[in-house]
Amino acid sequence: MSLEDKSHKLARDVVAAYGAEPSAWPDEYRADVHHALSAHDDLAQQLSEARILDDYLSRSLVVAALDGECVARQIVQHVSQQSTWRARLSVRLEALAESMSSNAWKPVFAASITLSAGIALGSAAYEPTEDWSGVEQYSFTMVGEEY
Amino acid sequence: MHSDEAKLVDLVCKGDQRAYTELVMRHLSSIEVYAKRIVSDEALAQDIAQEVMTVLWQRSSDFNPAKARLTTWLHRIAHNRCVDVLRKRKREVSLDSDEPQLEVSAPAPSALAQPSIDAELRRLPESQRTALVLTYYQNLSNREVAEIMNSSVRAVESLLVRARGNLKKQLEAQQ
Repeated sequence: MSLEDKSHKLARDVVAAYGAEPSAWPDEYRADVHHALSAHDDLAQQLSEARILDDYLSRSLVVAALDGECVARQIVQHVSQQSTWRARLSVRLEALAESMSSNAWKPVFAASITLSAGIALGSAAYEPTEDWSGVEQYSFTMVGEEY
Repeated sequence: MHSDEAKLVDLVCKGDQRAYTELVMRHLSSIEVYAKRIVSDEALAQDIAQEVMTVLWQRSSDFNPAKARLTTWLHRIAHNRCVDVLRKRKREVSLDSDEPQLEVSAPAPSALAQPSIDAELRRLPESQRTALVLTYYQNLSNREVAEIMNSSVRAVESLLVRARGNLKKQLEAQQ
């Protein structure tokens, strides 16, 4: 198939699928279709028929009736959001970033360091004071199954 | 996708009601008319449109602005819901076909004299109607339509050619 034939076929296919309105043609085909239409007179008939169909399609009477504001209000009032881990993490990270950007984090940080140091020292100094070595061992053998 | 829509969706994820209302105002009508053209039932189409907006509120964090425009994501949800409704309707019709049929009244003469484009669209097979409605009325690109219909661009273009061809034949038959 020659380049001209290919261009002719492309224009025919594009008009058959998308109609006569150039804005409806895919961006990647538009220039080639314009070129083919100017080079091949026989495509004018197809274009004219496609225009009639476009005009027919534009006569649709389907319209929307719902009130967006009202629908949004009802959904917000009656439906709870399903928060995913991604959304929750995003909210937490944003809150953390916000607190870091202000000076509010300094006392919190100081308090957490003091608390951590206290826990560490307390754990190191702890020694058990009770001796459990002499305590009777529990048996998990069922009564009647001793032997 | 418009960057302001990405910001609005981000705000919706955090529970911002004003951002959500703004997005519903932008997209509800489009989804409602899409559903009306596909399921051909006003009340059902409105239910579908509200369900889609509920998903936007509940699961906006599932939307990835790097992958698609918000309108494509919403149309995909609407499309899947419409397909479910049409399948259910088909099942019900096949179950009912075993029962004795009531006499069906003939359409009013005025309806026969002036068949509208909407009535002609209803006569198209579901996949052809969907491809045509998404492309022509919803102004979505061929790639977006392919994504919504879980198909290839080629398959969508083939559906469009057949849909327009069938409509043309229906038009010629009227004249």
